[in-house]
Amino acid sequence: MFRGIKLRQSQIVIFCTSFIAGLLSILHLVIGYAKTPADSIYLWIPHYYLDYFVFVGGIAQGMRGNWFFENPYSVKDSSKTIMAWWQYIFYGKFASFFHLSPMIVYAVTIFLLSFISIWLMYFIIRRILSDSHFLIQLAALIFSLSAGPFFKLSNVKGSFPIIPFNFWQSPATFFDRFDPIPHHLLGMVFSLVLILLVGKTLDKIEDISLGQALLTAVLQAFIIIFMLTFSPFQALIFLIALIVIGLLHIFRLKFQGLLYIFIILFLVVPAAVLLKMHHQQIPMLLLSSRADQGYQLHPSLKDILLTTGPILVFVPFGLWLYFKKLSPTRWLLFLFVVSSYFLFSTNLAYYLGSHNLRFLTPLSYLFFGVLSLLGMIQIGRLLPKMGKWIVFPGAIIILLLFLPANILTFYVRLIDKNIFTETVYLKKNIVEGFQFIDSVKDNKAVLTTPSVFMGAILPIFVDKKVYLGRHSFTPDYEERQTTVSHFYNGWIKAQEAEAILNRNNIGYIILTSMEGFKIDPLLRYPFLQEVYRNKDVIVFRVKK
Amino acid sequence: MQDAKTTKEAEDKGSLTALSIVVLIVFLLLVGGIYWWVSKKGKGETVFPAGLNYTGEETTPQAQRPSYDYAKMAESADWVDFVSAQGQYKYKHPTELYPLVFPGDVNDAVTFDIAAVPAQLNLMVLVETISNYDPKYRGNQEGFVRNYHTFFDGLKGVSEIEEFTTDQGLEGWRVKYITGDDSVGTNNYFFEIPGESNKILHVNNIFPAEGQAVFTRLLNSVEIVE
Repeated sequence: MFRGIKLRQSQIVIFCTSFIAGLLSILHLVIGYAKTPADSIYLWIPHYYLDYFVFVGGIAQGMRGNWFFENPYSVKDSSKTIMAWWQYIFYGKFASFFHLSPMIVYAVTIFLLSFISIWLMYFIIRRILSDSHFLIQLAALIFSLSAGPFFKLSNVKGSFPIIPFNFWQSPATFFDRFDPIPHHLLGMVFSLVLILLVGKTLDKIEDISLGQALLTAVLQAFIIIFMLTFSPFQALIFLIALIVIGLLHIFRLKFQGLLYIFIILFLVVPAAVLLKMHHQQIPMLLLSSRADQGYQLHPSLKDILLTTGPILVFVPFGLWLYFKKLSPTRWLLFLFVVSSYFLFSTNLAYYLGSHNLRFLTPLSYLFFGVLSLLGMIQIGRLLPKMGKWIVFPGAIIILLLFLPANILTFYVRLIDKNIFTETVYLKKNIVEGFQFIDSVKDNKAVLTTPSVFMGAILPIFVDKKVYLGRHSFTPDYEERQTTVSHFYNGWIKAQEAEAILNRNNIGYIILTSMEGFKIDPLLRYPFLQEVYRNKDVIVFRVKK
Repeated sequence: MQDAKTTKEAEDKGSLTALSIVVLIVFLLLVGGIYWWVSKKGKGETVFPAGLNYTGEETTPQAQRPSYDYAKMAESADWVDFVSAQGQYKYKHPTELYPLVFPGDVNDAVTFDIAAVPAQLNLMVLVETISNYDPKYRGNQEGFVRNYHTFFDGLKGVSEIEEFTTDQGLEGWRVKYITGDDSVGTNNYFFEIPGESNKILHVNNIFPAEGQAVFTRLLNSVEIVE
C-alpha cells in the first residue's frame, strides 16, 4: 500500500523540527486550555484579542454559509469583500466539513501554516546551500528559526532580569516571526512558494519554450494576485525584487525570460490597481487602514541592528560565498530582504493605507541564517587550523544568546493581558444566551454593553450584527459607547432609547454577569420584553 | 574514498534521524506533562466584575477589584522600581499595585487597573511619537502639548497649562483639557525626552481623588532611562 512512499532521513529530521516549532507557536494555547475552569469554555485567544475576534468571526461566517467577508460590527455597513480576511471564510468551510469549532480551526491553522512555512524555508536553504552537507543546511534552519535580539541586563528590583532590544512589530524572536495569525503566516508561505517557484523558473528559463514561459508566468501571476488580497505588502516586496532582478538581467535574458517577467507584471499591476480601488469602497477596510496609518515607526539603524541580534555576527563573513555563486533563488532571497528593509524605511505604507512595519519580513532571518553558516564555512577555509576553535564555540555562544529573549517573549505571551484577557474563559451559560439569540432567524442587530468588549465576541456565536463592536470597525465608536452606557444605565428617556433602537435596526438587548451593568434600568423600559434568562445572561427583545 | 564519504554521511543522517525522533517524543511528553501539571495546579478565573446573576436564586461568586488603602500606600516605604517594557523610562510604585504592560506596544505604555474602565483605555504612562499625530510638531513639544486636544474627537480645548518640573528634574508641562461635554479632565503631564525631538513622555493622572498622594509620589519618581 505504501510502496513508493519513501521518506528520506533528512525529511524525517525536518518533519520533527517543523512539528516541534509548529507546536511551540501554539503552546500558550495548550496551557490556556489546561486552565479552563469548570462550566466555562476557552476562547483559544492566541494574540491580541480584539483582532482575534474579527478573524475567528470570519471562520464563523464561513461556517454559516457566507462566501464573502462582512463587517459584523456595523449595523449600517453591508459591504462584502474578498480582501484582507477572506481566507477565514475558507477555513470556515473546513470547520463546517469537519464539525469543528471556529476557535479550534484557528489554532490548527496556526500550527499547520507554521509547519508548512518551516518546510518551505528548508527547501530554500537546500537549494541555496545545495553543495553543503545536510547538517549545515539544518544548522542554517535552526539559526533562522531560533534567532533572537541582543539584550541588556537589568539590575532593577521587580523587573525582568533582561531587557531585549526590540521595537513594535519587529520579527525579533521566533514567537514574533511565527506570529500566531493565520493570514500573516499564509503571507509567509506564499512568499516562500514564490521565491521557490520563480527562482526555479528563472534558473531554467533559457531551456523552456515560449509557450511554457507564458503559461508559467500566468500561473505565478495569479498566485501573486491572490496574495495581494490578503498580504499586499509582502506581495509588493516580492514584485519589487522581481522587477530589480529583471532590470539587472535585461541584457542577459533571452526573449522568453523577458516575456515571462513582462507577463507577470502585465497581469499583476492592473490587478493591484483594481484591488486597491475595491479596497477604497469597503468601509471596514478604510476604518482599519486609518487606524493602521497612525503607527509609523522608523527606528534608528542601531536599534534595527541590535534588535536583529547576534545572528548578524557571522553574516559579513558569508557574503563572499553567497554572492560568488548567484543563482536566481539567491538573487530573489537577497532582493526580497533588501526590498523589505528599503520599503520599511520609506513612507510608502502610509500612502497605501497602513503602517511601515507591514513591510518588515520575517524571511530576512532566513537570509541571515544562510549567511551565518556560509560565514562559518568561510572562516573555516581562511583559518584551516584555528577556524573550528572560532566557529564552534562562537556558534554555541550565539545560540545561547538567542535563548533569553525567546524565553521572555514566550513567558510574556503567557501573562499578556491582551491574550489572557478577562473574557478568555466564557461561562457556558453566556454562550447558551448567545445560542438563544442565534436561534431566532431574523436580520435584527444585537445591543451589548461597552464593557469587556462583549460586542466583539458575540458575532462569533451569533449570526447577527452588533451595534457596538470594536474600535476601527464600528463607526463613531466612542460616541456610541457613551450612548450605549447611558442606555444600559437608564439615563435616557424611554422614548429616546426606543428611537435609537429602531433607527439602528436593533432587535435584541443582551446583558451578561461579566459586564457590571445592573439589570433594573432595562426592566423599566416599556418597549423591552424579556425572552431568555439564566444565571449569567438575560436577553430582551424589542417589542414590535 | 568517495564510498567511504557517502557511508559516513549516511551514518550521520541515520544518527541525526534517530536523535530528532527522540527529541520529538521527549518534546511531546513534555507538552503533555505541562498540560497535566497546569490542569492539576489550578484553573483560570471567569471574571465577574459586578457579581450579578439574573435568576435571583443565588449569588455568583465575584472577582472584585481590590479596594486599595491609598493613604497607607502613599506613606509606605515598600515601593519598588518599574522599568518600561522597552526600557525607556522608569518609576517607583507601591507593591500593592501591579503595573499592566502591553507587550509589543508601540507607545511602551503602562497603567494600573484601578478605574472602572478597561485598562487598555486608561493608560497612565506612555511615550508618544509626535509625528504620528502631526509631523509639523516634531521638535516643538510645547506646540504639540498645546494642540494635543485637536487630535481627539472627545477633547475640545485647553483649560489650563503651566510649566512643570518633577523632583527628579524632568521638565515639561502640566495641562488640563476640556472634554466634549465641556467638563475639565484630569491633569496630563508631558515631559521632554533628552535627545528625542520626535518623542514625548506622557503621564496621565488616572488615580481617584483619594489616591492623589500616591500619584504625586509616583510622578516625582519618574525618570528617563538613558
